[in-house]
Amino acid sequence: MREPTYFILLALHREPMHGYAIASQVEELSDHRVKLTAGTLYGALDRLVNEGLLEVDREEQVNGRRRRYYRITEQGEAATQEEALRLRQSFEASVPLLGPLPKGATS
Amino acid sequence: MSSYRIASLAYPRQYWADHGDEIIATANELNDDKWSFREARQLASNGLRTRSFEATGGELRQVWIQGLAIFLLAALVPMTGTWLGFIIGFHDANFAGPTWTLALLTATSAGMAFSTRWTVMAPVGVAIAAGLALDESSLVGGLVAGAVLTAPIALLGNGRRIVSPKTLLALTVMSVAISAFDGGTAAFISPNAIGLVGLLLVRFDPRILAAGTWHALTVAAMSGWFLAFPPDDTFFPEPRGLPVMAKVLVVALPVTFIFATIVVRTARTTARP
Repeated sequence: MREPTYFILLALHREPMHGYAIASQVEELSDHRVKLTAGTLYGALDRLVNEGLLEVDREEQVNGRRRRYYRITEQGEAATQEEALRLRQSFEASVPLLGPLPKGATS
Repeated sequence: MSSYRIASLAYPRQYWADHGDEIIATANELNDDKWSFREARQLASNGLRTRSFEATGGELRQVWIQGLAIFLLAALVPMTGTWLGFIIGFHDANFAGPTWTLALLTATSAGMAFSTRWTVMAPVGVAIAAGLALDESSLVGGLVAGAVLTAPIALLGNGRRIVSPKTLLALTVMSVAISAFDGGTAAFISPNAIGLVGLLLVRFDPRILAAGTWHALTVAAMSGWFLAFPPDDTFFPEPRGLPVMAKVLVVALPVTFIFATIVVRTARTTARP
């Protein structure tokens, strides 16, 4: 799973959100490393809906514009958990070799 | 006020009508209402991806490979027939290149006919292209142009397997037989290839009429163009076997039939409410 996909799924873990809120949440969760453009974001959302990991929760009209809210599906939750486990295993495998990592290091 | 009008053209019209406002609003919010080149580039890129996804039902890779396979079939099988005809002794027009290259073409044709896993064809196609590049420099332009043109055309296919293995087998056998018997000149192979491909596709795969007829015909016509540039002076070698009148019929009938069929079917489709 690619990093933006993981963070999108993670962002929707708590509650349904619309596109802009998802992108903001992804940026915050990734400590400003993953900055999604609208093109990338909606492409990923369409793909994840098609794969059954997300679904459209509802549509609202805001200032005359339609806004779709997305929510994560059970399949999406499972995929996120699986990826989180994989990341934890990678991290735990690296600790004995690299020693304690400096605080705040992200790359 | 920022605008992504050009980038929006990349999206399918209906998709943009449904979601364009929302995407633009999000783009503006994410970029503080300033126009961003990165955003425009990503929008255009995602628009094309959405377009191809809608055109192919998500089976993009399959369609590209099918397009390439049909191109190779239409363009190269008659050459293989020419070579076989020369080896057997039907004619003396061996314009088609070194033996090992043509052996590869024969194997490719058989592979196309029998393979149900199209991905197998990709490395074979590359090998053929490499073979032709090494040995027949005048064919490379046609092959490369054909492959490059085939890919976007393939995008317009319907995403399902356009040609069944049975159809491909029939195509291969008939095309090889005719070009072997015929003497395999570019002048006669091209219409034969176009006519046979179109005729057999319509005969065996009626569903191609729904979405892929134009695709198949364009690929076939392109391969005809490709074959119109033989690498040496055997453009009009003396054919053996078929009298001239029969040859004209062999060329003209399938082509006439296929175009007539398409005109009729198109008229029927258009007439539907």
